[in-house]
Amino acid sequence: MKTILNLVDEGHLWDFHGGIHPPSRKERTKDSAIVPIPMPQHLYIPVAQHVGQPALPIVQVGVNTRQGQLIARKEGFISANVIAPASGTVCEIADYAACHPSGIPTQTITIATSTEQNFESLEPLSLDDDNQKILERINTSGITGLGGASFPTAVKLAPNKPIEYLIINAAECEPYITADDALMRERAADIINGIKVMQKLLNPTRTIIAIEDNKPQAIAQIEQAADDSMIVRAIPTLYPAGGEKQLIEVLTSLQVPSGKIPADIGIVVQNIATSYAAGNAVLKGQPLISRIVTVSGDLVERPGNYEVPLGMSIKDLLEQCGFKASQRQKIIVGGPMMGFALNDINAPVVKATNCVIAASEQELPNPPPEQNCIRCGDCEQVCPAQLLPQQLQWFAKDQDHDKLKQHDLFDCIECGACAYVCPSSIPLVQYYRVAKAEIRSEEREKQQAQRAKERFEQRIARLEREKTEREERNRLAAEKRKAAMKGTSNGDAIAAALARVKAKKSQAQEESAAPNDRVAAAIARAKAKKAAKQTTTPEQSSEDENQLEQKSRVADAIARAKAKKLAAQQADQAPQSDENQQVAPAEPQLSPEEAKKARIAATVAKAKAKKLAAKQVEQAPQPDENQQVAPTESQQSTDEANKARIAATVAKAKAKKLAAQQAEQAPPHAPAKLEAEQAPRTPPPAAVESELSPDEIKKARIAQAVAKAKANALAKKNLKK
Amino acid sequence: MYLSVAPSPHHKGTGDTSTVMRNVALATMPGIAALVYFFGAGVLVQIIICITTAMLTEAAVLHLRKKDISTTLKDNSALLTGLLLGLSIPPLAPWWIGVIGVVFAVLIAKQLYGGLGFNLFNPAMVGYVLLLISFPVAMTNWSVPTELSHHQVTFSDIISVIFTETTTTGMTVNDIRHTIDGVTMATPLDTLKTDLTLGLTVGESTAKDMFSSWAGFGWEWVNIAFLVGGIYLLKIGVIRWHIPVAVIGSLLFCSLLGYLLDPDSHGTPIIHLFSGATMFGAFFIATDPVTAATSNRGKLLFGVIIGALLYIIRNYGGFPDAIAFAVLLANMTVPVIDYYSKPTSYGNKAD
Ligand code: SF4
Ligand code: SF4
Repeated sequence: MKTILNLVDEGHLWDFHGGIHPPSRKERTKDSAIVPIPMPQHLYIPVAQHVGQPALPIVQVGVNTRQGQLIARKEGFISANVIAPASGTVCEIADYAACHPSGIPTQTITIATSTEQNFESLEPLSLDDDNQKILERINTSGITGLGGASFPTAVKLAPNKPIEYLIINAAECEPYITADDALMRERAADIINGIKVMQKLLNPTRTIIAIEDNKPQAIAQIEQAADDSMIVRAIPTLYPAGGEKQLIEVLTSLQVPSGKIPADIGIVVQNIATSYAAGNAVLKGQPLISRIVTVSGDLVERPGNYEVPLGMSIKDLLEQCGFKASQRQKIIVGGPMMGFALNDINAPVVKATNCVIAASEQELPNPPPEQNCIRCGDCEQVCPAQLLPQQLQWFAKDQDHDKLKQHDLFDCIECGACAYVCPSSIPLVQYYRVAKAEIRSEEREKQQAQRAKERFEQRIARLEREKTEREERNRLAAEKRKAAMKGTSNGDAIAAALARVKAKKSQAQEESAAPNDRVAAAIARAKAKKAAKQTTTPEQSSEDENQLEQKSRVADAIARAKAKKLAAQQADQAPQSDENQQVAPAEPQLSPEEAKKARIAATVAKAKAKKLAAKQVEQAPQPDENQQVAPTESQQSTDEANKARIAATVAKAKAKKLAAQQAEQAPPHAPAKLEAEQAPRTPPPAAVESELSPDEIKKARIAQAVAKAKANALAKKNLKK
Repeated sequence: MYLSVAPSPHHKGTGDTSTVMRNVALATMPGIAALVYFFGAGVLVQIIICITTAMLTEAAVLHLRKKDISTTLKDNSALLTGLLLGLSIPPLAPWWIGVIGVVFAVLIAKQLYGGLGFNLFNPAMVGYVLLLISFPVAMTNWSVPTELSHHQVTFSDIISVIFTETTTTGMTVNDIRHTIDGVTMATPLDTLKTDLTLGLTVGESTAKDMFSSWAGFGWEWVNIAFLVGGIYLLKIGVIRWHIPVAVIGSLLFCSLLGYLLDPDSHGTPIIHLFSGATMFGAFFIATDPVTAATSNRGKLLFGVIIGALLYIIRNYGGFPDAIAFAVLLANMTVPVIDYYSKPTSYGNKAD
């Protein structure tokens, strides 16, 4: 039997389900050459032009930039650098109209460009360079997917699985858009060099460049430039053949399993413009500062393919192309099928902007009013994901989330084919978007409730544990006293042995309870770490160190073995709050003198810790109570009072923070899976909670009250002592 | 400057619901022509009565439900319901037959369920079954093909019979239905059924005049005409092949089986396929999108069920033709079919 690889080599192509042939309307621009657009006076460069975390600006208002200089650094794993597309002066860093369907303003660096542009290129690398170095370069140059998704390219080029197929997507199946076509016709050699870079990084078994067969010139150019390691495939023109999943199916017959990414089945898909940009970044040292944009629509006099500096406002761009505004118009960014209608024409061109259409209402009319679904099934016939759009629509209208999930709503790629054919003009895709958003927020709430429940249960378990330990110690102490009274050294030894056995047992118990704690703790710590970076002042850290030193001395002497073990678990998780450092072991293992020493040292440390805690409370992330393995007996009262106080303060801070957080809206480019990482970037007092439900507010308030009461009680107790 | 904002896609295909309905209506033209040719202008009068009633009823209901009358009427679905029912009523049936049937179809079977798209059952067939059960005589009085008729019936006779139940010369429908040889004539399927119950064999029955052609005089041409219209619908993509092919295929299979097992008591496949309302049902009734199964596999199953029921009822049930019953029964299975015929979506193959 022939393998898929054989069939691929033979040039076999497969079909995906459905698909449509919308009028392509590419005639206006399909033969126009790439024309560079003169540098506008101002560039508006959002720090979030990609999937993932927004970049962090590293320039201040007033500084001069050079073209090609880094102005915002990537933040976290899935993020991308932002490069200055022009020399000039940073004149503002503020919220500005975003190039996004929501239109919510995002943080944007505005550069007043200077008349002279001096390009700051990097040292060119070669294909002989180390993979790590090349990846680093792609990272530094701010390269993201230029096909529309804008996923950071370097991440996709470092998969953790061997890659069988590298697919270069040049299908460009959306109507109107000809940017990739123009690029292929004019700059095939550079594209191929970029593909070579990707081949080197991924080492794929096959590299396939897929181009829709309505671009014969581009196919010819690419075929000429490609080397033997690349297969150039003309695929039938059918929307949405350029969808990542559909393209994979057409070329290899494989389907990306639901919920997985192509890399999971050994496939990486890169857009052709991305490979061009990556090639330039690596081999020519040119970071990403411009891109090819198709400007089209019946309201522009000079439609064409333009090389546009990133950050140019769409208004400026359209004016350059002879835009004649009419009474009503649609400005669409991207294609007519999946693009979005702009609600602020001042929004800038960003990395993902491949097309701008300025169309009159005659060219792209609003759909007629929605009618009842007649169950004709046309939608189902064209759905490339082979869903039942009609049923999904009924369920979405009923808000039947279970049924929606059952019918694989989340496999919908929002291609719009169903809405395109629907005779009743039902805005199907819009229904799905809304339903998806609803389900996501519902699931988030569920998760939060679950987390809160776990925290509560863990706390109960911990209190229980502490109580038994306390009782056990009291009993042991009593026994010891009894033995001492008897005056037999024998009794002492027995008591000590007994104590050791007990201690071991309780330790074992703790350890079995630990994993749960640890997961939660690890999440909290990762967040804490981030917050720490932003909050720790030099003074604090020196004090931290002081305290650390003292404690570690004690801890070292007392329980090296245990500390080591915990250290291994927590190795990369620098403790933030003082409590994290309390990894003191159970007391009974100690000899009396040692215990005494430890107690003194601990009390001294405690006093300091208390002082520090009071200071830190405002900034510290939620103190992780779960990490307290086993406080020594002598510490207990102070400790608990302390803890309670901290908890109270944190709870207060948390409750306060809520209002602010609720007002905040998720950053526009945030897909669901990343939302957890997209917590507000300003130092969060309670970074763990990115969003709190009303339930949680209530819980926080209760916790606060309880903590206060506890603190009071303990204080009283202490006084009595 | 006004920027109009709408969700994607910003471009829409040209098809719309009213065009779909209009195309279906247009595709009945050959069938109507054949019916008029063989059974006279009464067919047209019935169609006009039914369509008018359908539109008026729909408008009245929409008015009561405080919905926009003109936009909804423009979806042409009421027109189509009226037309399909009009085609099913005997050409010389009294006017109130059509009126009752259509009012019931539009009011009860469609609007009471929530309007277009929400109805579980095919409205035209619900109306038809109501009439068949309530007025069995009037509903089975199909007139004789004009060529075989003993009487010359003028247009004014037709109008007169429909609205006053007698012709200008005082004849009733039954008088008109006498053939040249003075026998009252029923439809070929009706005749076959009666003959079989009387103990005749299929061969003896089909030797009669009305079977002089291959599937019943006139009826075979009517069926061919509807077949032509159906193929037109397939060609322009208004309907898909699954349902008609499944209906015809399963009817063919059943009738072939029956005929091979016992040719004397089972009509030939040809009679089953080209007599009665077979083609009309397969292409115009069963394919009603609202009440049919949705997925392609589901549609095939739906069609097979209709074909099989059609054959069973024709042979063993109390009615000579059974499109309406078969379709309505199959309508009931649709939710179950839809549930079990959900296609595997992309990336969800279990392997
Ligand atoms: S938008 Fe979703 S449901 Fe509609 S055709 Fe595309 S994938 Fe299918
Ligand atoms: S295309 Fe529109 S009218 Fe037809 S079944 Fe789908 S949603 Fe309903």
